[in-house]
Amino acid sequence: MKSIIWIASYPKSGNTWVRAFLTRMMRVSPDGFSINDLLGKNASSRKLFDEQLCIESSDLSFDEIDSLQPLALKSFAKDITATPYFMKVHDKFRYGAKGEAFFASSISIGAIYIVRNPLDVAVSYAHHNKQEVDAIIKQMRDEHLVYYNVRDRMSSHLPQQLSSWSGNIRSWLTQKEIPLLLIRYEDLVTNPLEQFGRILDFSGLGSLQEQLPIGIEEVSFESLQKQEEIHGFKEKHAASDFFFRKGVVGSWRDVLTDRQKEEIITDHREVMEELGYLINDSTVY
Amino acid sequence: MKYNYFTNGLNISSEIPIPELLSSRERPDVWIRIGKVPEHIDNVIATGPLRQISKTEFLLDIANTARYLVKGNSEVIVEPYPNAEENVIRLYLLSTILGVLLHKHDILALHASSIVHNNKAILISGPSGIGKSTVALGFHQKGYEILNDDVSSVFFDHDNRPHVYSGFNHLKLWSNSLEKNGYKTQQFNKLRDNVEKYSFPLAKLKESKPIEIKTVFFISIKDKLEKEILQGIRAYEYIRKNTFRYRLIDGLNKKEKNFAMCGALANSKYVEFIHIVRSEATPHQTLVNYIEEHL
Repeated sequence: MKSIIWIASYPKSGNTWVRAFLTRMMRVSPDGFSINDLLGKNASSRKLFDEQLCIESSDLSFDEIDSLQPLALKSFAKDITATPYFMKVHDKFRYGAKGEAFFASSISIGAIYIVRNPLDVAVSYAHHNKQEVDAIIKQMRDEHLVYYNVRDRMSSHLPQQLSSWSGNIRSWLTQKEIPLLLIRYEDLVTNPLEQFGRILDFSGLGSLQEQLPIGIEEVSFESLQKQEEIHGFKEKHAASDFFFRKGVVGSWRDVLTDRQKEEIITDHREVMEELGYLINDSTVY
Repeated sequence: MKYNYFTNGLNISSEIPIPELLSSRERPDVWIRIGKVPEHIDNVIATGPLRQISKTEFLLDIANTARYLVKGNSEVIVEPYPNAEENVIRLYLLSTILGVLLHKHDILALHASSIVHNNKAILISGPSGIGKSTVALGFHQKGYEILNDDVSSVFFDHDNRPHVYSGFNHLKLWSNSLEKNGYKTQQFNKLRDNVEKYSFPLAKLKESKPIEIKTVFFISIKDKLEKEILQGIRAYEYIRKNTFRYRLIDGLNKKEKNFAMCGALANSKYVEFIHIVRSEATPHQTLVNYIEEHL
């Protein structure tokens, strides 16, 4: 049964914000919602894999994990009773060794794919990982980049094949397996009512449109930041001080050097132009 | 040739050598042999991606490794795939197949490592990757005896006091854990190719006498190191969700039995249950010291 909506994006592109919004809209309680109880189980959760297959992923090679992940996701989907069920993804859209789509159409209602200006992604990602921007720029161009690609220890996530920033986006935009809603982070910031409304409609939650204004307000960046200050955020990377750091559009202008800006544009010009981040060689945001 | 072993309350006679287990002279409860295993079993009542379950049989099919058939609660047949690695065949015997056998024998198996402190057993439970084996290594380095890695089976004596059986004579450790604790991986046998995990032998492990349980620690991850005491229904929930291979219980028709055993453990006046939260960044040695302070 088609039950899953994938909330997919390259890292630091607004995935958590969209999940916070959907959590707020779908789970209304007198106490509001908690950032430490967000919808959107990670599709690369090791726990999901181990529980569904009843084997230890930590005993498996990467290739074995890769070949079994589609099975684990299909098995998980069988247990879903309430739809839509949202799952978080950073992987590129891809196919397993036997040619089956990782995010199979048989279990998917669709995907909400969120993009963000790579110039801002680079800055945000550098803070998140506590790495130099140049190192992040290099990672963002790496078509073979695998997140959580640790081989000498275990992480709570299975390896995630990100590809490059451009590669990740292209893989999702060109796939024809499942319906896709493309959302730009910048549009969420500048036109939240319309964009979050599109997300509700795509998700079959149009009946919640009335609550949209209050829902958007309750997941404002300031609200999420305040929650993190008081309660912490369990999804925060161990290296970073805060997850909800700035959340603004165009902060790259205060951080990136001209060289770094040109490097990112050179690496990702085509996709930036397609998405409206670059028009006639000028940056839009 | 037959090899005789003991683990987690079961005496096993095996055609396959399993050096990870303690030797035994007791009458076997389970026989493991090499033989033909069908691709499908009859009268299936539950399935999963790699498994089929009937009222009496459990089939696990691991591509390029082996098909395993558990018949009743006393026979395991293993049919290796061509060129399968022997040590990989054993990995599944000592995890999923062992879990099935323990459920079928109505033994409550927790996803836990266990150590001995003042002649009592201390269990460290949690999901894969939480640090059970690394914490056990930390205690081993402090001179504590290690009873189990990864699976700790509980039984109740005639006074209804929970005890734990010993299990394996090694720890399965990632190279990072070994190196952080001052070991060189070259000293140890790799569990298999393509995975940086090693077998750390536990030379001090004594015989298979069960040891009374004093404390069970459940470890989870959030953002900082802290602990809470669990009682009643909360203790029950943690025991239940940390039952080894919990997902198989329904298919094996052991839900009621598991409920009863988890409830009995949770209500035991002889055991305390502590939930410890650690952050991703908490060093394992800090966690070891935090646990030790509580003992």
